[in-house]
Amino acid sequence: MPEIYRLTGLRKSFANKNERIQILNGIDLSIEEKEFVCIMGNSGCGKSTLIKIMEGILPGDEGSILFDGATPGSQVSKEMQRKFGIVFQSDNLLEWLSVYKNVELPLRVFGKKNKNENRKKVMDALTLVGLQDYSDCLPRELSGGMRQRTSIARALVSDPAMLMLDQPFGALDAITRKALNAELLRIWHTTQKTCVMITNNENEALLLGGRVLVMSNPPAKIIHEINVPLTYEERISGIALNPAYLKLRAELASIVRSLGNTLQS
Amino acid sequence: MTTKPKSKLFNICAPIALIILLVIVWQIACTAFDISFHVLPKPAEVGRALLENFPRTIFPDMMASVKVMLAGYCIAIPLGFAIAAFSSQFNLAVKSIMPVLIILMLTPMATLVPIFKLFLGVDPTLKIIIVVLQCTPVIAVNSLSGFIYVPQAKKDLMRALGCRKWESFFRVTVPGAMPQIFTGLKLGCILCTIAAMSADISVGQGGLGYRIQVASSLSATDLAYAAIVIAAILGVVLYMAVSLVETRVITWK
Repeated sequence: MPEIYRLTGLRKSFANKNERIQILNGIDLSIEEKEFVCIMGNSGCGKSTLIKIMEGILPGDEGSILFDGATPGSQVSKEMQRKFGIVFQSDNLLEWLSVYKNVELPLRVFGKKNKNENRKKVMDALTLVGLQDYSDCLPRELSGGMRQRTSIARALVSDPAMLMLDQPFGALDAITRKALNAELLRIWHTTQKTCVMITNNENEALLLGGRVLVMSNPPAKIIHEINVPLTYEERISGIALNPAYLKLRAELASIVRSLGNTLQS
Repeated sequence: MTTKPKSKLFNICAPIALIILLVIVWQIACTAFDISFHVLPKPAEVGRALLENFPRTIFPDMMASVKVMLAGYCIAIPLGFAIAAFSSQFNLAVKSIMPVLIILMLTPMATLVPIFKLFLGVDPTLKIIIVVLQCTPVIAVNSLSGFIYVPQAKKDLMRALGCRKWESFFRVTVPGAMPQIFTGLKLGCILCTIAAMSADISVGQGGLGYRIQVASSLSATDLAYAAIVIAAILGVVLYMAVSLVETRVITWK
């Protein structure tokens, strides 16, 4: 598959009261089209900062981004931002808009006025996440899992080149999380989108990711890359007993353990 | 769900029952303790004065007050909103304007009337100016505090969609600030009634406040109380109208 996104030597620091803290210290990564990449790391290691720079919400200090054949320097341009579909950590829906209007939001912001066309796109996105019957509900009337599905539909409605997910299921209970992981795997398989997902869960990373990148503690670099050579069929049929999966999980678990929990006390 | 209409009716009936009870206690107390008419007339007397004087004096005074209140309030809303919207866009403006608005909000505007009279005489617009000065700061302060608090995630969303500043203001900031905006509007209608009454008292030239003052100086306490009742009803009606709009606008809470 051809490369769609490349990040070279990305550095980012934040100013604290009296010093600059280097968060990202030379991140290199390359993502191929239709690939599902998971990025893992300890909490506070700069995972969210990394994905925010990748989608253009934050500017990077140094480094270059190559996306969709163009080089926007260390920051993604406004035009390019629209090629990302973003699923946020919290569902981040606008609580005063119905599910339908929330999903329609990107189309409206992008100035797409054709009502019938928009309706079709919104309903297609809602059908994909299984919420076609809830289009008139307000976000507060939905469960946490349904809100995050709405958020996925909103990210997909504009037919983005890449789907970016920042710990999308972190706030959900274990059962819902498992169901939504399976759902996301199916969505990825049907839409054939390139996906980048930040996660702190090894099982989630291995179930979904074709590749898992592990970040070190700050100043962070990518220190491990694990290929997950499992087919879609293997992933959907009882992955928990698959010996290859179990081996990878043991490997990933030992890597994550070696990072230790270095949260500043 | 079936208890909902019943509880709604209950919510309306309970305060009305309390008011009726208080009126009865008032009537009985006046008779039992033989309270002088000049201190506190019986509710029945107030009611009679209200009916007798309504067409000749109270109704025209009420309309005069309503005009001042509505004109002032309707100018104060867009003005307060505009001040808040403009200053929310600049950090310096937020920092500098917020304390000034709070000071203005706390200044009783009726105290400025004697000074204003020097410039404007007893022009009828003076009353409207007083109401505007009293209501605008509270509407601006509350709207502004809603505008400057936008959750980071929402800002990220708007930035991710490549929204311009004004577009994210109308799509996210304003709807998100609606609860605070309505707090300001409701406080505004309380202050609006108070300001209109005190303007009547200090400026004269008709209005319910003026009627209350004239009636009490003529020892017509029943008429004074009748005017007070009408003033209270005006305030309540305005407040309820704004609350009704609020429930229509904020449907997501």
